[in-house]
Amino acid sequence: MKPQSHAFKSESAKALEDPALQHALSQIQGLLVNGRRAAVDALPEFQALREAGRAIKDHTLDHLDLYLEHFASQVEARGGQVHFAATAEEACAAVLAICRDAGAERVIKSKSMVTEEIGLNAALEAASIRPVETDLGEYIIQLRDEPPSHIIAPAVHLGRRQVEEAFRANHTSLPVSRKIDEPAELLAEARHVLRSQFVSADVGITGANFLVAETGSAVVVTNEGNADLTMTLPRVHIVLTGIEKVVPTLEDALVLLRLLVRSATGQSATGYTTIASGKREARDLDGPDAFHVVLVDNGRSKLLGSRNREMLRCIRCGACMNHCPVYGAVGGHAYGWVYPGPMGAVLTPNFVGLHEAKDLPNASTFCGRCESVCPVMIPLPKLMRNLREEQFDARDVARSQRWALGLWATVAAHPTLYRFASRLGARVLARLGGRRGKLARLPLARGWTGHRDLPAPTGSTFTDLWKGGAR
Amino acid sequence: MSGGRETVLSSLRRALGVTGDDTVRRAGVAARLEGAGGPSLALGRLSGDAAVQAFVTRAQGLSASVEHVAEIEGLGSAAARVIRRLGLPPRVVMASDPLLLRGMSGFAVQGIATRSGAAEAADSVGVNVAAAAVAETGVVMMTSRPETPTSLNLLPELWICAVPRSRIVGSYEEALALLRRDYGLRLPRAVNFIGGPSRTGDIEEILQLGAHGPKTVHLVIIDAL
Repeated sequence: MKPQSHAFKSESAKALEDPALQHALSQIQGLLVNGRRAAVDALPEFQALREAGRAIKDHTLDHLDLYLEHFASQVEARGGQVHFAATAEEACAAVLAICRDAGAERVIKSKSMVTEEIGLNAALEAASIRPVETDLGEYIIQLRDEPPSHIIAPAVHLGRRQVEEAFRANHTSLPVSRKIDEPAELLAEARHVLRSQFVSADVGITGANFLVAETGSAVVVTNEGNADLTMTLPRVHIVLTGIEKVVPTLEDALVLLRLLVRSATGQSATGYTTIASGKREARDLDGPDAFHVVLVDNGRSKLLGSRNREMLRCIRCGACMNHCPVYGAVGGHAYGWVYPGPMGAVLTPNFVGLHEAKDLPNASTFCGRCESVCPVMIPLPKLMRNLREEQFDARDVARSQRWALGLWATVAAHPTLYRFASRLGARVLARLGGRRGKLARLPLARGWTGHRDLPAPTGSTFTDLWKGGAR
Repeated sequence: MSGGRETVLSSLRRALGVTGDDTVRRAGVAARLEGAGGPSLALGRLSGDAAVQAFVTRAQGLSASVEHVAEIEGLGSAAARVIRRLGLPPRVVMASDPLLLRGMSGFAVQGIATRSGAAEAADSVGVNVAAAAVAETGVVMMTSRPETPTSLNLLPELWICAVPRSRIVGSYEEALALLRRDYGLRLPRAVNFIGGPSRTGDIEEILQLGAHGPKTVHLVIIDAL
């Protein structure tokens, strides 16, 4: 997927003026935030689980090379094949080679953010293979030829009218006179259309929520059951995922699974949680004849060696974006790449370059809600701050901003100067605020005063008040 | 693709500042593969009647319907009632698990035609038997064996699942322990934990049942087993 993150500011401005999007965003944040809250409140062990989850991830990341080796040997021991891909291109090439060897024409997929990240659909289409997404939300946005706007609910920015339009434009063999303006009718049509895709596909591609080293298994979670059909009916099953998804044991996967479902949708269990361990066994009546796992690096080893390593703990639940005031205001598309919200503010610069994504680490008020809800306790604000520092060091910030930050640093490092400047500032602003005590307009701060008044200082600084005995 | 493997593993080792032949690290990983996991949950610290009761309540919470029958022979009449209620044709495709085969006569008495094997797209009713059921969340654990093919659980719009009462356990960990006991580390191709009907919220965040898999899930607890 070609990043559009450089356009964050202009896309955000558009998003703020889009009433349908604003309505959708207000809905999803309420639903998912309240759902998570209720699920967490019902589980007294949640904090203990978070700490266990963090420890599992940290331990695995410290030994990632060895766990991947072990995982691969377990997959191979039962006849599966493992492909390591250093880059997005290598990962797409591996999938294409598997499809070609299998003589595959029809490919179905269940939702996978890593396949979005590597641009797999475009690569398949370039080779004249049309992949069909089977997660309903992902199917809808595929018909509309647009990227997901949320990692869990990819079509959250759309209403039923837009879904109906997409179905009418694409399901042209169905009668024009049919009625599909209700969600139930839309679902029935999608079920009907996708059922024929399921039974005729040659290759099924799924992601993985976790890989289990001890058994060589992929754990996949859905509510629709589409991943299960995708890995059961076609002749070939390909699991494609990031190298950071591996955990040592099944019991470790359980810890993260319990955190994932509650943090993502507020459920205690999703409809389907599947441990997939290979191709069909000798006497089995169903299941694929071949099993492949494509393990994608694509910048993850670089992240592992950086000071933002903690980001690799991420289990892709989406809680950080659900709780983010910036995501809540502008939605997922403004972020311009696969991962929106706070997770995207850290991941996107790593994957597409800090210059392309330079606004993303700055698109945060540092309110800290993301970190407080993260199931694996990733200090997202700290990681965004790290990226801001890198930008400053790389001189990739506007000259006025560098100048202002430089001035601030000088003043802040000299207490006498600081006290003088803050005394002056407090007095001037108090005068400007007048009897209302508020500032409706302030030069250099229109971003603030354009939407609300700035409360004016009363005239003295904190230090002066403290010295004067005010406690 | 062994070139890819070496490239990725050596990037990781560079990033970690380690070598692949460090025996201390290898020993640490080998030991760690024997255990870990996390805190046990009160939700799953249940056994006996309490586990059964919690399983039923939580499965219903996931929109499954649940009933008890005394013996496996009662499965046929339980199935007949649901099939009739939903107005589906009286034909089922079912697992060839010996346990279910014992209950076959019950289906014949009800006038339901049965076929053993995997499900096909045209099948509207599938019958299978759970390897375990988990009280912690109300899900059943299905294994893909020749006698219990996975497609039975996924393709038909009505899925009837027999749950032997003795296989209702408290936590996921207990269900995994059963898997380890029966299969060691070579698990069945697919182990599916299934909670209620297939569902989606992808159109306007409205929860709808019956996305791709079953629209109705009926669990029949066999009390004698």
